[in-house]
Amino acid sequence: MKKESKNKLKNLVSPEKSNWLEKAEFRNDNEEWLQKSSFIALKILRFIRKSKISQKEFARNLGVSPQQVNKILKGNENLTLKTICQIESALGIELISIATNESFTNPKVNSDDFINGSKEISSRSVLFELTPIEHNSCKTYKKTA
Amino acid sequence: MKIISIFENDDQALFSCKYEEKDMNEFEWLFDCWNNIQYLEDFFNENEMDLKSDFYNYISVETAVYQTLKDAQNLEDEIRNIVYERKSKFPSLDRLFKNLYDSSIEEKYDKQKCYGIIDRSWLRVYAIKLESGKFLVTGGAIKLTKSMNNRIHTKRELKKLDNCLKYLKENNIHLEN
Repeated sequence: MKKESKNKLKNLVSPEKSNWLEKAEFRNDNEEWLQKSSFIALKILRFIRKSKISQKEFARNLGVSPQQVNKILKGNENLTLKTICQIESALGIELISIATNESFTNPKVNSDDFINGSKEISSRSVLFELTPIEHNSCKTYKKTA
Repeated sequence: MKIISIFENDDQALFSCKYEEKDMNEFEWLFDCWNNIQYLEDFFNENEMDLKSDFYNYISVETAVYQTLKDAQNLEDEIRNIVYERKSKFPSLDRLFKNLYDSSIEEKYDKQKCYGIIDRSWLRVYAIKLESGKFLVTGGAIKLTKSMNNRIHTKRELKKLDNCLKYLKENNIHLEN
């Protein structure tokens, strides 16, 4: 681009800043819980669409404003367990469940180590799994210990 | 219309159009939408028939939403790598963006597109190439059909590209592609 055009472009660029990079960093730093929030939002959306429940009605049953429901359905909310349980109750569906087919004991650490306090737990156990939405894809979202 | 800077390095820069009817620039808005479950669920529900094809393996709305989330995340990561000049699948914006028309003698190379990262990605970011390493995003779309003219939402993106070129010309900014 010629110098003249470059200067004209420079003058055209607004002093207004974009928030994209900040948002991108946030999405990157909070990837794991945002993903789970997304899965929950999608399950709710598909259920209310199938059941022909309006978002207003859902908000009323949940006891929150339509704006709050809107936030939840975007999939970017850090939902508390209390809120998740209230949604489950309002819709009569299960969104998350406690993993029952996996031991909570870390196989690398035995009970003596707990008592002695001599070993650190080096990996996490799975406590929750999201209930599957459909059979033929993305069934369970378990993290392995 | 405004031109908003997304990032500017020594030899690379990404700008975005911001139209009067929106309170956000196009580039930022695209990634907001592609991370908004309600937006994606609405979109794929409305365009479910386009997913029912051999090309897309008859995937469901749910799978389409997950795929889009993952693809958008990967694309955003690659662009962040370019911003911070880190090792990337695409070392530069010139490698990330491609000519809008795959092969044409008549078309100039001003109009550009960027794909998402996964195989058969339907994510598109459309831009005008100002010069090597510098792009102006005009919009983007989830493109589920072969031709942009086949759907209103993609056809609209062609208009935005044309309008942007016109805007630059009216402001005496001459591209040399």
